[in-house]
Amino acid sequence: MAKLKESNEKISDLLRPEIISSIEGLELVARIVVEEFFHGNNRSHRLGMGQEFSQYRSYEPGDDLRLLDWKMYARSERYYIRQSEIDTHITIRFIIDASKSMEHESGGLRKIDLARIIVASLAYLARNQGDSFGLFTINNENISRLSPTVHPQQFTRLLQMLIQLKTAGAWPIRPARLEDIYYPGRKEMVIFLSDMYEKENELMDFITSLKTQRNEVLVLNMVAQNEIEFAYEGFHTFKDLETGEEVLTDADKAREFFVEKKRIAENHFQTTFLAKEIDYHQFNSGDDLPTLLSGFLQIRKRLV
Amino acid sequence: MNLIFLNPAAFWGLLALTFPLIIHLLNKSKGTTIWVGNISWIKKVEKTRSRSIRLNEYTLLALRSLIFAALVFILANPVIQSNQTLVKRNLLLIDSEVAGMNLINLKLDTTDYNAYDIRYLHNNKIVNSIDDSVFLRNNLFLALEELEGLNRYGKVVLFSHGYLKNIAGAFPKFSFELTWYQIPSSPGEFPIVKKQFSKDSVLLIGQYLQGNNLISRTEIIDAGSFKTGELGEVNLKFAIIVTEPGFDKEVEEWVRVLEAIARQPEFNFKFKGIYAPESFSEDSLMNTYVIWIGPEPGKDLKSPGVINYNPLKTNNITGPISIIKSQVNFYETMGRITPEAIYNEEFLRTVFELFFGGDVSPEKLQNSDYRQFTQEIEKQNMVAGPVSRQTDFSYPFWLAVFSLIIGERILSKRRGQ
Repeated sequence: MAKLKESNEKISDLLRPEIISSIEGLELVARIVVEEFFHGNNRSHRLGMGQEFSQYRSYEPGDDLRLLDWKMYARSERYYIRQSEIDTHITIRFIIDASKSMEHESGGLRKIDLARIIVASLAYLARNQGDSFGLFTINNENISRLSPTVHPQQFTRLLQMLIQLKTAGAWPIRPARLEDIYYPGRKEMVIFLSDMYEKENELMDFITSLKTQRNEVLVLNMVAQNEIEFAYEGFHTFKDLETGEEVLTDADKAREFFVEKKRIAENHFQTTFLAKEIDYHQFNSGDDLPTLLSGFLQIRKRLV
Repeated sequence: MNLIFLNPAAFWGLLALTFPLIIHLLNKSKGTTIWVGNISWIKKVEKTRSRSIRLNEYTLLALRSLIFAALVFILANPVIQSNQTLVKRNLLLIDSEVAGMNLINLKLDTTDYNAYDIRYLHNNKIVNSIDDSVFLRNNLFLALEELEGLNRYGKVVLFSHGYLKNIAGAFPKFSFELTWYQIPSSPGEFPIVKKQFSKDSVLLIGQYLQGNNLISRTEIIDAGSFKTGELGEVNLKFAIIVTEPGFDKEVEEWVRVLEAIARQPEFNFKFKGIYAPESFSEDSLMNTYVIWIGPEPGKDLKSPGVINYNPLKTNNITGPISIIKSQVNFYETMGRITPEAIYNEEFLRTVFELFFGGDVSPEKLQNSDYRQFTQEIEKQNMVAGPVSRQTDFSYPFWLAVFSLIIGERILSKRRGQ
């Protein structure tokens, strides 16, 4: 446990705007996160990549001769078929909600920064697994696309896109243009990162439309540290990042309202997504990334 | 018992009350702006809380204003004035040199000043006895200002040698009434001169003998330092100017100044002529101007008639002022003017008649016993009237400032600033 905590501290040291706003920095963070994850405690979670040995079985007529293990024959003078896990490659689609509200900041780290780190880390892991991955950043002013491939430069392209990612506006209310970013029916994994702030259920509609029988959808709700218990004190003017609306209020009094509303919304998400078989997780900067990675791998396993 | 402010100009500081008002207007219903992702969850709180916020704002404004106001009150130096609680005492201040020498000769008995505190002026430092250690101070005024600072004395009688150069120019005003007897440091010097300094009267005397030497002109009262505007405070009774020859221009300047004073009706000052005693023989007062501007000797001071008294009948000046130039004898062998040469008995008698009124017998002059004059004058001043006492009243305001600041801190922290 001590080791895990230590590595978490090491990672959180890196989560600073000046580091994660460069490609090198973001890659470094992603690499460290993933390597920390495969270190020690988490080794058992590792899945084979097709070269992993699985078992031997006796040769039976009709088996492909290429699969015969000649070395085994030399030792035992029997014919064995060497069985390996079948290489499985899936497609991972990252979708980032690039609306203005993702600028919400806590402890010097914006939600959009958190999303960057998560996507970079998961993409790094996906590259190591040989998965193809792509990235879509969406707001009502601009939609950026990076279609999933297994191109060697894909990870660099993804980092490039993450660095250049700019938040604007809100989530599109009528997502007519969103249709082309997702083709239902494919065997793939969709990871959706958002702060889940919506006006007319537009986010929920979009997410639930992603889910099909064959794919897996993972929704990561970016929660800022100061949102958990509404960690403000005294009188403040609260301004909405997206609408610019102002509310002057006493934070101490607003807290109970906020926390209650948040709890209701959370319940709503959980029940809705559960019914749709969508994985849903809250993630805040205090949570550790390795846990997220193992969750990611478990979901991936389901697809394979 | 009433509250007064020693520094009412500080109330201009009340203009500073606009600061908290400006802050209030700038911050009106604001607080720190915090950008958040989602505002809809706290929207409902707004209406229910705005009243208490406004109340908080106004309380802050009031507290801050009160802090400034209290500070202004402190700066205004509030004192509680209580009448008839303190009777100011009178002080007899004796120059130690005078006390050691002339006072004994003068038989000036300090028991005559029973109602007075007695302090000695030792090298211009006020000490309790003559034996106290010497502390050299350059200016007699510092000693007087020390007395002023004590705020205890209603009348001060000072016996000292002549420090005339110290009263050149504007003489500072003190809250006490100063009577200054200038006592000669050598028997032949100019006799006791009493100067009464109060708010509206200053006696100018060109007295400039130091030891046996006539001191230089610039150390005499500086005529140029009296601007016409300043003369509003001067009520000249009498003036004597003695200069060495060769200073005609300065004499004319003096005449011009005194003339200007006399022209103004509010001053009870008349030029009655210029006196040079007949007995000043040309043998004894050679090469010296003696110019006396004042009432005619021997005449009633209260009848300001036109005087054309000119014993030596030289250099009559037209109008009410005349200047007499007296060529007096000079002791060529000594190369300087001796006091004896100028101040003979006749001269001194005339002077003192003018000063104190009435006849002064040669015997009195001989004894230098002018006590009777001074006592008579002092009797009128002996009884000190009730004097108000002032107590500092700023402490409650300090207390108010501190408690208000604490309140302001609590409130503004609550407000989120």
